[in-house]
This record gives sequence, C-alpha cells and structure tokens, in this order.
Amino acid sequence: MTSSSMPIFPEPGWFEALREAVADDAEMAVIGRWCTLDLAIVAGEKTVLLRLEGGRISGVVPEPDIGVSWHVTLRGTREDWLTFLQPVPPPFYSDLLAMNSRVPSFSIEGDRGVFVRHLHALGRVFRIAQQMNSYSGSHA
Amino acid sequence: MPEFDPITGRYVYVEVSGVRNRVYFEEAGQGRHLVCLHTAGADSRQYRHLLCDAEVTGKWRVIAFDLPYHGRSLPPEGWWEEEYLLTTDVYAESIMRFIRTLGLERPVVLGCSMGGAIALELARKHGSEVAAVIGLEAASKIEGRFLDWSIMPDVDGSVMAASWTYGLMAPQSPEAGKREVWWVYSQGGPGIYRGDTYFYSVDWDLRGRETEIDTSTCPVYLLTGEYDYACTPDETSAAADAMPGARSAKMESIGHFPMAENYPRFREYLLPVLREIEETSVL
Repeated sequence: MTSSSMPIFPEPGWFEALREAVADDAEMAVIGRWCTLDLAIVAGEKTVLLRLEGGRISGVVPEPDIGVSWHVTLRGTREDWLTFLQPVPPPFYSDLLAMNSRVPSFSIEGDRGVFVRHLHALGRVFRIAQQMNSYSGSHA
Repeated sequence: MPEFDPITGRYVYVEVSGVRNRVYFEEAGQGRHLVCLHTAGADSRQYRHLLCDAEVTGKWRVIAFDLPYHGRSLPPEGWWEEEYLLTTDVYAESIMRFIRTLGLERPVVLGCSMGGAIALELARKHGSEVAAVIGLEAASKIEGRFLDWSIMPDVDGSVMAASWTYGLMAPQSPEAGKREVWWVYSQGGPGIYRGDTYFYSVDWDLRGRETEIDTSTCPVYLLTGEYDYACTPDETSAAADAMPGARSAKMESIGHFPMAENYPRFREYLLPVLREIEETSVL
C-alpha cells in the first residue's frame, strides 16, 4: 500500500493496513508471542476495538456494542491521534505515555496493569502505526 | 592490531554512610576533571560516546562511575534485607566521596535526569568543591515518576523499565541509540529504577531554595531535550529563572537521554558549554 492510497485513521481500511503491517513485522514476531489483549481506541466519537492474540491483530471491531468488553482504552480526540500517528510527531505527541502525561484530552484507561504488562509489544504496535504512511507496498 | 576504545575501567573502594562500596568507573582523556552521572536505573555506559570524543578528552579527563547498585558497582552486603530508596543525602554523599577518594580537585559535574537533579544539589551544598555543574533534563521538581509497576510480581520489571523510559526519547534520534538506552535499562537490578526515582521525584525538591545556589562560585548550565515529557524545557527554564546567573537551553530533536540516544546532536550543545567553562571558570 502506498502512502497516497493509505486509508485515513480511524477508517476500517487503516486498521486493516495496521493488521498487515504488524503481521509482517520482524520484531513483533520476536516479542509478541505473549501479547494477547483487547484494546479500545477511542478517537473523538468513534471507538474501534482491536483484538490482539500472540502479537497479531486478530480482530477489528468498529463501534463495539454493549455485549463486548475489553482490557484497556486509549482515549483521545481525532486530532490527538492524527498528531500522534506520524513518523515524527511534535513533542508530547510521540508516545502514548507522553500524551497521557502532557496532553489533557488523551488518557490511558481501564486495566493499566494489563497495559503495563504489554507495554513493550504495544509500544512496537504503535511505532509501526506511526511509520505506516511511509511504508512501501510490501511493508518492507 | 586490535581496535580499542580509548576508555579504561577500574574499581575503587568508596565509603558512603560508613559502608564500604566497590565502585566501578571508566575514564578517558587528560586535563580538567569532568565527572559524569548516569540516569535512574542505568549505568555509566550511557557516557561511552562522550568518553570516546577526542575533542573533549583532549582537554578533559572524563570520568563516569556506576553508583552502587548500578552497572558493575555491586550493592553493599545486606542489600537483600533493605528496600532500595535513594535519598538526596546518600546520593550527594556518594558522589562527593567518590570525588574526594579519587582526589579530583573542583571537577565539573555533568549529570542527566536524576544526575542532573543531584548536580543542582551539589551546586547548592558543595558549590565550593565543584567548579560548575551541567544538568541535563533537570528542574526544581519532577512530578509523577515514582511508581511501583516495575516491582509488581506479574510485571517483567526489566522490560517494563526499559519500555517505560523508551518513549522519553526523540523520534529523530537514531534507532541504534534508542535501542542501546533500552538495553541498558533492561539490565538494572530489581527495584533500582524505582528506588532511584524516589530521589528524583519524591525526596528531592529545590522549589523555593534555588537562590541558595551561588552561581558565581559554581556556574550552572541546564540543557533539556524538547521531547522530554518527564522534565520539559519549560520546567527547566523556570528553574534557571529562579537561580540568578544560571543558564538554560532547549535542545532540539532530543529527548531525555541526550548523551546516549543521540550523542552527535547532543555534543552540538555540550561543547560550547565546556568551552565556556574552560574560558571562564577557575579551578
């Protein structure tokens, strides 16, 4: 997928591209084996549930209904996420913990123990996400 | 011929609070003394690029040591029966004892993060024994860094501390530099990163006492990376403003670990400070 055809966050196609990029990532193959959790990404009025199993994104659920639960919520405005999701974000937007600390509209919610236990792998997932608009078609 | 770094390492015995510690240090160069202090939960490897910078070591004897409990400085006997919580007094004493044991006369002290904070404390309490301090990522007070996550039984503390601090670095810093910071952090002893942040974020508080630092005796230079969200450039600038004579600067495209995450960029800020100290500060 080229940058010109990259779907825009938080459209479903963007999460599909993330799923492919995470599946292709050599480091995730090393560190992701025990990374299994459900993660809600809230961007303004939109919520998307990411299911991670063994370091891979196994499911993407837009607007999960009342019958669904998850471990961790990453909540921000759409502008927060678009500022974060670039290869070189500005100060305080380059990392989830940075935003949680310094961006009032962004927060890490839910079972923070789960978040911390998976911090290494989740950090990699979101660094892949930040680099996606510069990925070549093969995600090489 | 084998290729060697210009760094040599050895051990020295340093008594702190009546306890004998076997302290590891590395050094390179000749000239005025520059003592380097590593960050919380890390060790002197963070200064390996500075120790190999011929432009610095041509004029300075650069010395970086591992605080007890860090790197190759083993904890003193009985460590297993005490919770490790670094205090301002013990930290300052450890550094001053190291300086006196090696017979270093009025060294310049360069410290990062908790090392930057204690550099200010040394300027406050031991200004006559220190020629100048260079504090990286330092301010009068750092909030919110003392947390228990790294000692939770269901958390891998080594990976957690490394990943927790990884995001403090700038996205522009070279991947290899950032990964090296991660690697060093992953090798800290259990509870040591947390215990260091007890000093950095709980015990030490310079607010309201900044004017106790006499910058005419001990000049103060504060440099903070623009991507540091634990200690922001604005917080550093506010600390400098409260210290008459102190100088501060924001380092562009750098995060919380300047000397380790991106040394080539960092030296653009460090070398002018060292030159100014060479020209203006007396032993």
